Amino acid sequence: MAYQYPLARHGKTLATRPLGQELRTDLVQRAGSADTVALDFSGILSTSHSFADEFVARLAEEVEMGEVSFGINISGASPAVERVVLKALERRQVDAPMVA
Amino acid sequence: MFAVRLRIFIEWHRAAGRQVDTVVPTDSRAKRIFQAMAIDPALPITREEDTIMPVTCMREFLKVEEVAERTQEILEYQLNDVSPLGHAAFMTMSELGGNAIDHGENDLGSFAAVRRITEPRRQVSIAIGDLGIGIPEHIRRRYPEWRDDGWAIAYATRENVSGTKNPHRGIGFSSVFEAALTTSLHSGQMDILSANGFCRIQTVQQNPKIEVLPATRFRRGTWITYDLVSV
Repeated sequence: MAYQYPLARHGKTLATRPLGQELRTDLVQRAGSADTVALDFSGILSTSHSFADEFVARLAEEVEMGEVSFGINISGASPAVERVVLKALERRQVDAPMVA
Repeated sequence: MFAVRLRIFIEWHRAAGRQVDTVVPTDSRAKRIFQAMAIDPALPITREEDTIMPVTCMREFLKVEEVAERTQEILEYQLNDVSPLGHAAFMTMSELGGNAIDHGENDLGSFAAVRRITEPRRQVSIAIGDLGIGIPEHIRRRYPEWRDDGWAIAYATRENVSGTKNPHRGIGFSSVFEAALTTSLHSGQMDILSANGFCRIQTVQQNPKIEVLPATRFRRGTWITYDLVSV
């Protein structure tokens, strides 16, 4: 079962590390028994590197370490958002597939 | 930066229980800017097209979120001549505003303002200031050997250099410079003054050039001015 987490619900931009932490906790609670969670960045204008590190890269790290029971992918990201997210993943040397 | 410094001066004295009366400039242009930039929050704020963000107090991360988003939206949707600078301005407000709240450690909060300047070149000027512990003292918690304030600031702008022990922190400044390099801008110049240090970082479509310059005097807190010049 796949679960979609629409980030645009939280605003057009995603700026800070505490917000990333808050949304990561929220996502883990909502994902329930989903096999895969799609991080849906549709409608997001910009994201900061701190947010991307705390939300996406740390989540990808938790997936790799088996701390959460689902896999993740990233969808709907604009080129600017995708660049920041990929950089965050690279910094932590983790991976998460981008889907169209 | 002058507007941010004045506002902090006013807020600091008022927080200490002192009465501060401001006299609005008589020159019409100076008066317009003074009122639009919210230098004295006790006075009514008027609108002025070059004021992207009047001086705004940020004590919580939620406020940083609001300021960063609004700055980008105004730049990209309302000011066509500087709209390509929207993403870089967002990154600056979010990363450096977040840093100020995270590491500033002062009750007054951090203050930020954004203005468009059209002469001699189209640019966006961002100022962030606080009366916190300052970058040199913060960074020396981890690197006590960095005794020179100017060089301590310069090192603090490098990726993964942080006053905390978390190896994933210390990405704020590098993110800001990276955003500038991927933006259609002519050049960027950031001046950072903190304690007895003065560091200038210039970005001209290449790796940032860092200079440590003599500071004229001690400055409590951290004072950052970032000018993004549009193509």
